[in-house]
Amino acid sequence: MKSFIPTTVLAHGFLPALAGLVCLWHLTATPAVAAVSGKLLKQSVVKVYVTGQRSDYGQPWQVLELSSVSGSGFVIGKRRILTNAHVVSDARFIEVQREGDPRKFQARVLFAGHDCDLAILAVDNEAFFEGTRALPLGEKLPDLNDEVEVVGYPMGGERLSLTRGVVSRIDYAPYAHSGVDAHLVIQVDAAINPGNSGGPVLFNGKVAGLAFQGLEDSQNIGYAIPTPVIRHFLKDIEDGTYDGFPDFLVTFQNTRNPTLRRELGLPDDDRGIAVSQLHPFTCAWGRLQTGDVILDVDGYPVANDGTIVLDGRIMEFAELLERKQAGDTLDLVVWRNREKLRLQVPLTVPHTAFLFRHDYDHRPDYCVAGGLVFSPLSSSYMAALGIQRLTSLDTQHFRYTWKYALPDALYKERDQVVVLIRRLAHPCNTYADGFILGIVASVNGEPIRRLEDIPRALRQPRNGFHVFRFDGMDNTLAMDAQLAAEADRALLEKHVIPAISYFNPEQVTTQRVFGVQCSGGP
Amino acid sequence: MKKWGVLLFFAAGLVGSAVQSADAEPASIDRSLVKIVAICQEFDPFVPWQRLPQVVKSGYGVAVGDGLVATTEDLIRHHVLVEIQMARSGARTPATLVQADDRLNLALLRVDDDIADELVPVSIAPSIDRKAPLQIVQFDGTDQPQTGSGTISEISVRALPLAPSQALQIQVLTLTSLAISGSGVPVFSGAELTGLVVAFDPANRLCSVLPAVTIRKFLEAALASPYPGTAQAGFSWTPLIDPFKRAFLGLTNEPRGVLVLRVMSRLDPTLKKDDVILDWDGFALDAQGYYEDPEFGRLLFPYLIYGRRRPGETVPVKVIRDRVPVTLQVPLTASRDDDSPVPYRIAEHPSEYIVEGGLVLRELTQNYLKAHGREWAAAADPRLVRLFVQRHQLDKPDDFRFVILSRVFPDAVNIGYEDLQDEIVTAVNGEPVKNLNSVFAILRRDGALRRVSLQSMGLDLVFDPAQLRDANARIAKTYRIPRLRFQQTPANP
Repeated sequence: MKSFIPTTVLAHGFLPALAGLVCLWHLTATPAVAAVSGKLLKQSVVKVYVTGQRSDYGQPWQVLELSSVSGSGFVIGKRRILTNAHVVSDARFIEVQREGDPRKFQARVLFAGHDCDLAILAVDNEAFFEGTRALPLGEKLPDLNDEVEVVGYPMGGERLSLTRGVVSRIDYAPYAHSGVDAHLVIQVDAAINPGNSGGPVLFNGKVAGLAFQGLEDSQNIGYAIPTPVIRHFLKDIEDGTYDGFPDFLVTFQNTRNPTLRRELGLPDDDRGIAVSQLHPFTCAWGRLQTGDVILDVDGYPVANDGTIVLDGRIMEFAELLERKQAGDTLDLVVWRNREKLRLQVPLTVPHTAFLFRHDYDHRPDYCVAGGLVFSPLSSSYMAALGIQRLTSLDTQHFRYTWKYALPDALYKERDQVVVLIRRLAHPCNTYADGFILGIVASVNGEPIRRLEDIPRALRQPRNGFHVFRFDGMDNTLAMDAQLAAEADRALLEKHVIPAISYFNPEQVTTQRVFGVQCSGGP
Repeated sequence: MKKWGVLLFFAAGLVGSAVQSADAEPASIDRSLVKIVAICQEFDPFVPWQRLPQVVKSGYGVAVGDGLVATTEDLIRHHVLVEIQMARSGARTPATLVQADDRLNLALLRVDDDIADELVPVSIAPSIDRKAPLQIVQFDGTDQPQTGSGTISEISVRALPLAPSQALQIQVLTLTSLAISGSGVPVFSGAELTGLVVAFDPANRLCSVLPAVTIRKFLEAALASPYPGTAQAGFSWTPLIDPFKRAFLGLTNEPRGVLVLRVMSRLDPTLKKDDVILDWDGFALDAQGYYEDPEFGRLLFPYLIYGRRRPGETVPVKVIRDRVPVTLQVPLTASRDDDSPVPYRIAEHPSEYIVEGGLVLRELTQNYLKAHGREWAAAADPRLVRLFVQRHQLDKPDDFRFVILSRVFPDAVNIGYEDLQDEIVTAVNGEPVKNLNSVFAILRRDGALRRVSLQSMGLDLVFDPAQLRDANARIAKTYRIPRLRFQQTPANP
């Protein structure tokens, strides 16, 4: 798989690397050490204080303890502040503070793009913006070895801090905040520490990027979100909604092998990347086919490893997709059946429950039945569970589903992966422990494609019993239907559960998107 | 207070038996107990033509017949040389393997030397006396037998350490220190062999001992040709304790019987899924699957199959099927590692493989997965681990095995494919593969590898047969691969 060119779906392949990436907000620290920077910076860069509260994905009707974190941000015009999405994720109360001003002003999130880790804050009190100046975005990416300055409020002090370094790499890399997305990044060797998140990285007095993550157990490796990603985000929200980055969710195969090239009838010119796998809920479905070779994208020749030369740099061709908005089109020259074919692909942002992005800013869905708690499989649940704990053989079907739901097209069987996440102990479910982490296949004979199917299926018990079947298990779980209903009433009160179920009206399932966007297929 | 009283009594009992043991050393143990030194070198599952670093294992065995020595299989697993050494002697004599059963963790060795005449077979205990003091015998630093004592704390069916099955085991409490693997240390009751130690838990001072009854049965089978193996009935089951599950199944009688979950497809389907087994071979089962064994007390009923019966026999079984009591005659077959599309192959030596165009093709086994390290279930590819975990649930023909592309040795001929690993191969040269033998057959028929289809890829890996011959020679030379294909039968090409 490593030889294939990742679009964002293959960011799953990035997970090992992601393990070392850390977001750089900072648990609020104390001691004050003065730091001096230029006047412009003092007028632009702000400190962001956030009181956050995550949902408890293990007990999805509850929330975790309050957290206090701080990060950085900067004024970008229109009295708006740009920062990282991860700084303000699951925020309950946000304040911003300017350098040299003891006052803190309440702020709110206007837009958050969790796939690109960017957010816009608004401050309703106009007094905050008196004397502020917007930092201009640079037009050009800095080059290797160009000197940059990282400005913000990192740990170790309360005042504005500035460090210098050089650009050590410009690359296409995973964004830790979403866990699955990858975009362009600038790697710098200037010190970037917790608290720097959201602060500007300056090149020639303009913003070249926004500091956002580091690499655990490394020295002098910090990452910034470069201006092409920032501009994409800012343009996306111009219409008042954030759509996200378009993506094909296609698995590609390089065409470096000469025999493969001959088999495909490709000329011996080292061009073209082959389509290996497509999924039905993307804009590529019905337009591209397995075995197609993409030769050109928007006029840029694509090399046999999927790279293009863009702005004088070698980049993944996905970068061209990245710079488009949903609704734009991408012009492709495709090699199909030994002929060149021109395709125009209208771009969409794929939404699927099988991408397993980290969830933020919403309550997790759940339903309780006979004290059994069901919830859709999510990255946040996995984080709460701790994937490193899944070492026993009993948990390996669950682990397989987590890793291969999308590549192995498990969406054909279901719209969500519904998991029995815990048991609220009651005599009606004493023997259910062996089914925990089971992926629900059917309830009372009704296939479970999504969480909402469970309450529906529970309306029709079989001979007075609810019968649960789970993927990969021969054994079934049976429960007295009447006793289960009585148990739920008691358990809700005992565990202070406000409702027997919660379904987010905006939840993403493959089915919803499938219905809207699929048109035929290869 | 009561709890403390029990503990103190127990500790006093241990000390007491340790004092007694010095007088209870089995007669002529000097000529029955042997030290076994096994030089073991497993083939590398990832590079199956090479061996992993050599390991020297040392343990014990006991003479059980004319030049025959019984020991544990894990001690001699992947051996290249086995030698035995008698008490008070530094001399080692080679031994050859007569039979090994990696599921029972027992092996029988033969000594073809004059030393055979010196060995005195032990008497194997016909039964277990739970109250009798036990002697655990091993060599001290001067190669003299050293006897420790032990008492039986439990007799039960439990998972064997270092073997993929359950077996009857005696838990022996002892103050004697042993190797954690147990390594075949014999346990005696008076002059009779009670069992061989298969594992030792130093924290709880507990030995797991394979009992004499199992050793005796193995020895009878080991000298037969072909080795009949142990019996199985070919089904999986689960306890039926949950009263709601029982009510759902319409079981209104007393809470006993276990539920059949799945019946192995290749066997005579006398038993069926959802049968509730009430009696097995004349013994009533409780809802957890226990029965009252006349010799050993409360045991899990699978012991009635592999412990009391032989392959080829038929046993009466009383079940409830569709809410009606039925008595069946269930045939027993030999337990085989090949009963699933992902076998264990824990003692495989070596694996079959094909290296063609730098692609290493082999069958998926648990042994391959376990080569990923101690936490192999979490370290190996989840796609492959899942196939192993659900091996009995996969609807595949009896001879189906998963062929995997284990890894690729980079070369000009496979450029662009070099990062592939642990991929499931579905077809070779356009023909579906059902095991590695089928790949050998395809390659013999077609002369060369032209096309490999992988489960996860939409495009095939293609090769130019005209280039392969030179490429194979180059790869063999570059990566020092002594032979590019290995097949147990027929003759290696």
